[in-house]
Amino acid sequence: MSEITPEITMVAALNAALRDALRDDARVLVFGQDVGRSGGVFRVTDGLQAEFGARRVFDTPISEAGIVGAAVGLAFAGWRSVVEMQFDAFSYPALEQIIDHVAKMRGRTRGRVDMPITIRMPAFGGIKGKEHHGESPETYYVHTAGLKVVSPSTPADAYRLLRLAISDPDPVIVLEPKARYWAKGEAELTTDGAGIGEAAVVRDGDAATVFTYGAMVARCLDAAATLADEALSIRVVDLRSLSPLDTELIARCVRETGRAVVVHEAPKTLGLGAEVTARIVEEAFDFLEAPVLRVTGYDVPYPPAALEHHYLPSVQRIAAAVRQVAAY
Amino acid sequence: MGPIARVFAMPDLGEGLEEGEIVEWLVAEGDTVTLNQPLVEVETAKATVEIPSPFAGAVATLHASVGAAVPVGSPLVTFAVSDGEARDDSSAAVPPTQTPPDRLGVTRATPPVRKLAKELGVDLASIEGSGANGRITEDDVRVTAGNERRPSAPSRSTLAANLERQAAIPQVTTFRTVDCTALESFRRELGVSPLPVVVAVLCRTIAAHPTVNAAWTDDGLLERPEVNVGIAADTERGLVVPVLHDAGAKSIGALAAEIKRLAEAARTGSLSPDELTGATVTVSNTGSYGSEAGTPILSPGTSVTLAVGVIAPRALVVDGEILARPACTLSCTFDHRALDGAAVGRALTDLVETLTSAERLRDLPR
Amino acid sequence: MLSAFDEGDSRGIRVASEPEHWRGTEPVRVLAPDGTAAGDTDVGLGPDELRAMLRYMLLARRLDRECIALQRQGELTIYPGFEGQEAAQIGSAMALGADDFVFPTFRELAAALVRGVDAVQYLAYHRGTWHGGPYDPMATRFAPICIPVATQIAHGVGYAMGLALDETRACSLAYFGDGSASEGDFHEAANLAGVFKAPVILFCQNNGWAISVPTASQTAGEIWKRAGGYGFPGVRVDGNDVLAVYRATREAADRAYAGEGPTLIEAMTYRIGAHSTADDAGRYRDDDEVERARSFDPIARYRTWLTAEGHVDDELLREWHAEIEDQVLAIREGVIAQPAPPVEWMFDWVYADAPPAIAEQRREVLGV
Repeated sequence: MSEITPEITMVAALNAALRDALRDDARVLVFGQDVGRSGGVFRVTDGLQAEFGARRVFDTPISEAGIVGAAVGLAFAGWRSVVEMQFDAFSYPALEQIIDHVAKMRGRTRGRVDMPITIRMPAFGGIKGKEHHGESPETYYVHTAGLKVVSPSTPADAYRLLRLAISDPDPVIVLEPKARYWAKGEAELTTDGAGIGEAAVVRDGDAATVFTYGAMVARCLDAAATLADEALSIRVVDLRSLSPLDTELIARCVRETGRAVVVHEAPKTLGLGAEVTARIVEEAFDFLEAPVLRVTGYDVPYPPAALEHHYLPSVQRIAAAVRQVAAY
Repeated sequence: MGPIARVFAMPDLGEGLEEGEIVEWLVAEGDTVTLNQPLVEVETAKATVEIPSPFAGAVATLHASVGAAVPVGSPLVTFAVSDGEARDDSSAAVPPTQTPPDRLGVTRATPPVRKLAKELGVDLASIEGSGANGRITEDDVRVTAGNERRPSAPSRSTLAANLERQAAIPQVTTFRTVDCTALESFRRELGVSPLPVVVAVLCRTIAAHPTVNAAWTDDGLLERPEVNVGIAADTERGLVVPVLHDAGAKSIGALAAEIKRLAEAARTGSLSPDELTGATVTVSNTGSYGSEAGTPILSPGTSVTLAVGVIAPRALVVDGEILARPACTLSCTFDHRALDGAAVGRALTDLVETLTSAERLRDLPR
Repeated sequence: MLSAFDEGDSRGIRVASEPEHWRGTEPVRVLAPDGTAAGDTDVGLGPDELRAMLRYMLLARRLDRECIALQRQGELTIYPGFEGQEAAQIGSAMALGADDFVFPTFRELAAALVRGVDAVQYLAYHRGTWHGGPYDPMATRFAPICIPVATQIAHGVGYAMGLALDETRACSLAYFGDGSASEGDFHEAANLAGVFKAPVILFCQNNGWAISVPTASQTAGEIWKRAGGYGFPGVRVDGNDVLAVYRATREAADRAYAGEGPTLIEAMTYRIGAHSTADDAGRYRDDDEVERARSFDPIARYRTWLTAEGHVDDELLREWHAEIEDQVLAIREGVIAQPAPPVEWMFDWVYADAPPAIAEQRREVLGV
């Protein structure tokens, strides 16, 4: 193709999603720490307060539990809140509100009170951040019934998932891979395509399937390219929706390739890989030609910047695991 | 309506408590009580409380004495109540107890192989796995299953995997050049190709050298009474090795007919599993595509592969003179675990002597 | 026995020394503990409304005692009583308008009655048939019962922020206790309320005890005074003086309606009973203290004043007595008649649309 396709960053795509949501639905509010005048520490909310006013896009005190608790009350009053937790680890003070109220209110009121709340947060590592700035908190949220959890890997998917999260009647945790915030991708932004609950095959292959999400999608694609040089054809699945999981696609890919590797940044023990592996065993056991392997962060606290590259799954670690299952 | 007996059971007075101890009865049998009238003082692990009566009526029975620990759910007081609807006290259904599953046999196999074994009725515990770490392979299961199921033609990758496994066996190849003058004249006389004659000679040789027909196992050398000759054949579907069962009991004519039939079945892919399994020794007719000599590898379950090269005129020294004679090279690969070079050498010498002797050839069953 | 009609009769109230946690700033009063006027008794209520408040208090106490009996008869799971706090709950709930929204804790049955919440539906919570509250929170403007203490304060603040965004002339009221005020959520919510000038009433019932821990061990200061730190007014009222509570809440609501922001009310009251039916207050509290506190009984005080003013007489009280006994018996029967809900309810409202995994588990439980 000779024409030049314009590309945008994930930050710009998320910004566009918030802008379009604010424009399309007058009940949408955006608030959190530094999201107003500054436009957010990663500039995801840049320009929104100027465009939509401080009534609908506003800064709050530093109070994660208060922010999420207020979003619960705002939901009772018919407002659709999009709140930002400034970093993954800073969402922990809000866990009580999220687990006890955001996730459960719909069930506790037998469907009379919806919680259409979107909780965004920059997540995962890979940016040589300080401690508490590189956590993978997905298991806490995925383990909580009543929440949906998504994590995009490209600008186009970030736009789509955030818009779908905001319009969803249920609460959605959006884990934005901060290591991919400034990576560019196709600029065509639409809500059409795979929805929440659907995974996507991002590279086809038949020797094994690698299941991953977030910033690890790009790394697994790199690993697949390396393995292609060795005549190993690897399928890569971007899970996208961590809860609900697309167990149907997961099982189908294992039925078709017979071998699977799960890759994520979160520690191995009880990470999402444990659930994906269990699903594979439950739904595609008869097709397994090899044990399912997990390539993950280690069962240690997220390390300092100088050691980060040892902790995060590397192309080498991913490729080694794939070779191992392919040769089994 | 007469009075109805109503049993009041010890309630859970705390959160998940299991019993309460009677401190003092505040009513006696025969007393008439009102709703919520204090009945009894009970001490639990958490507190001492008065239990109010849940019914208005007469106290018929006090089920425990002071100092007794009454389990939650056990009768405390029976009342004679004048009316009121009977309460549904049906107890929850008890879930059926489950018997633990039988312990699985300690076998190594991937889930798809286990599934196949189940489908074919093969007991994995009875199979020695030929895969890595003794893992039972799909082929192992199919071989064991025998004629119960028609296998599909092996894919290139299956073939490759089988060959890799076979190549791992320590094997040696030895060569003999054979003057085929007698063979050619004999087989022309019978109107057959050289192959059934070679097979017949091989069977006769094995009668004197049974180790050629043996297999190496974990328990050592396993000799086999029946000679089943695998004939390596090239087909459009790739290499297949149909088997001439009990070849030693067959005449050359019967062998020729059987080879022809198997070759045809191999071409059309209609070989039965039985016709593809059970070889004890293999003959490869590499001469059919012009090869003079080679280093064939062993087929599963065999210790010897004999490749027959192309029969063509060659300059041979006969009685001190260089003469042009029809000749071929036999390439014999053997499992060095089962046989050593001298044993194979003796067997080959015997075989070559028969092949080159018009007299001996004529002794073969026609 | 369970009836409160023999309490606080016209022979007068002998007032003992006040509960320890009331010391410090003198709470605002309309009625003195002996039932005489201590200030302007015109709180803006007519005789019918004044009578209605007493009737609610009598009903609430009688029902509270019935609930404890029901728990001891195995008909309710754990139940948290509120005896002694009737004035604090009923005075504040009576002061709210129909559009105002209440965010309760787990001890506000009396306030729920005033808001028109069906008692049987409310008690289904304590019977263990459903979480939150099987009543409709939107129709009753009474949020689900909230167990994690102080978390509901942020909900009240958020709701009020929403009212302000919509420019609706209404407010929210969040109840909490002296123990809850030690939680970080109290601080976060109060601070947000101040920053956003939210039309919310933060209503603390300081009943002296957080299970076994007295107020003096929860805070070295006075809770109402914290409002100043958040930039809005606070007031300490006698929580056993229903008229004082009514007036303070009415004034806070009027401030909220006028766009003047939040108010923190600390209503000084006393928890006569144990924390719940699973608690034995005798392990940590002297009976003497409870007896002294009973002399500040909110029902006796208000009934004395209403009788003296000629708003109620023995004949009316006897009439109410009979009505309330019938009402409570009907609630009792309604509670006992409540069956366990259908098992599929576990799955039915977790998400708007059940994801495949939940749909599958629902089928598994139903055996379909």
